[in-house]
Amino acid sequence: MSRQICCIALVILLSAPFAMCIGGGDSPQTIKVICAGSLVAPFEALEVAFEEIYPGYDVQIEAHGSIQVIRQVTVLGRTADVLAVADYSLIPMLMYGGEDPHATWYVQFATNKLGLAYRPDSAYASELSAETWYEVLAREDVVLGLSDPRFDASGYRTLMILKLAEYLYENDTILGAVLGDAFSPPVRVTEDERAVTLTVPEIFESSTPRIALRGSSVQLLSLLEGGAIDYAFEYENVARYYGLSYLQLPPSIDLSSEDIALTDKELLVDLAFQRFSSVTPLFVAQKTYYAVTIPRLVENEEGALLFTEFLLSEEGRACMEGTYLETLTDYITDNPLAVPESLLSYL
Amino acid sequence: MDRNITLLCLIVGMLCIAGCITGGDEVSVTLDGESSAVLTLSDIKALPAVEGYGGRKNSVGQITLPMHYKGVPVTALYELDHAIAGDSAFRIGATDGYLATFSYNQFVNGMFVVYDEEGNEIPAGELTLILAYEENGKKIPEEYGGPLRLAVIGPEAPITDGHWWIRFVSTFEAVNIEQ
Repeated sequence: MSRQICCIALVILLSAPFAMCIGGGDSPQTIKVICAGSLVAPFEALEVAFEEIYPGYDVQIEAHGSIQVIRQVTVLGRTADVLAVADYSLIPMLMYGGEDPHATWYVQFATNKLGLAYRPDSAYASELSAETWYEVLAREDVVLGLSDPRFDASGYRTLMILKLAEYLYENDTILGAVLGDAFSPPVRVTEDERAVTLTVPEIFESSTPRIALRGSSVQLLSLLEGGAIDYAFEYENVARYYGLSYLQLPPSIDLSSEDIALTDKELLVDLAFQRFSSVTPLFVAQKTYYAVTIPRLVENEEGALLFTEFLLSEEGRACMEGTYLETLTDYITDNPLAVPESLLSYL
Repeated sequence: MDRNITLLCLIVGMLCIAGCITGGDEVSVTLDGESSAVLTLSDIKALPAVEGYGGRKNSVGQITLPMHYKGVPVTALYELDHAIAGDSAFRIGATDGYLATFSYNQFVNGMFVVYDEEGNEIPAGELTLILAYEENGKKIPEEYGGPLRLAVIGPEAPITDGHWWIRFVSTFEAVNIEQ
């Protein structure tokens, strides 16, 4: 009898680890997702829906600026199961190099646009339109919030918008008029046969209360809601999610279109110093594409694939659209041979 | 003015992490440029220390509540009375390849945006940018950016932007910025 009990106990003991591995245990498997700040709301919606369908998983979302999203894995040595960034080009730029690349593919799944977020009682809000916005922003008694182009993609994209507006409206004073003399040294504009380049100085501090510079566009939200600033350039999904008034800018300048207002050469933003040794600080004005990848050194591959499948599914698309993120009708990959087989059916 | 005039360059050697891991006093600091020297962690600890509380807020609004830090004011690493002009800026780098440039106002006067624990901006009190070597009474472990990291502290336990809290500090360089 005692031998039987011992055998049963042994079987239970040996079985326990296997039961935990297949998700039958009480503690759910973790799926670590690191994403761009403007994806927080869409991905939290994904998390809720995913965990309802797959209660054996716990999706943990962590957000950073897009460059920092990738650096968590490539430089800081952390592991993540899924990475999602607001600029697809960062994935090949920062992850594909070397004999053991950190990733070998990405899938573009969403786009976005930058526009002006404001309150109904913002100064001159009643005069704001797609034709007048830059005149309003240049007024002395209007307070504009900018995110710092040295730290935030929406910051350098805002400079691109102001410069593209000069071409669209055929008015070469817009960038200077909006920024005024707030920055010393100023943003420098140079042009050659290939490109127009905006160079952001190493020290970029606003010397006037007319412009509030903050580290990221997310930090401008509370200033806007509290009345400390009148306007801020924000991603459309973020502005709408927070219930702010939002002026959509023409597609040729809001970085939502392949066709930008500068047609015969590139528009670049160059940072005057190298913030990350692994990143060349030169950014091209182009349509905004969000992209997702699964790093090579993944901890929970099964969970990563399941979550990414859900992200690309119709249910996932609906979750993200519910937070005003514009998903792509057709997902795009740069390397279909490397994309995991279970994701190919969504492309 | 020559943009690249280096007033002073302070390099914490690549032994920083090794020094932390081994627990030894092996961290080296090199002063380079017109004036250069090598400092060990002991040298840094021998400088007049300051301590206080500081917290940080990352780019998406997540807050690390204030903790106690001890270290050296970054200004103490320089001879302010004659070396730093108002148009100076300070490049501070890390062994992980990160680099940030601080203005004179930030470096010398401690001018940073301050938040409350809910993330709302509040008026800044007295702030000091320090090169910290202790966090909550212990040496700063590598996973938290040690052995040397920047911290912004003050008597009111300020919360400031995390991108100024450089981890694994390895280089200091003062430069003149063209106006």
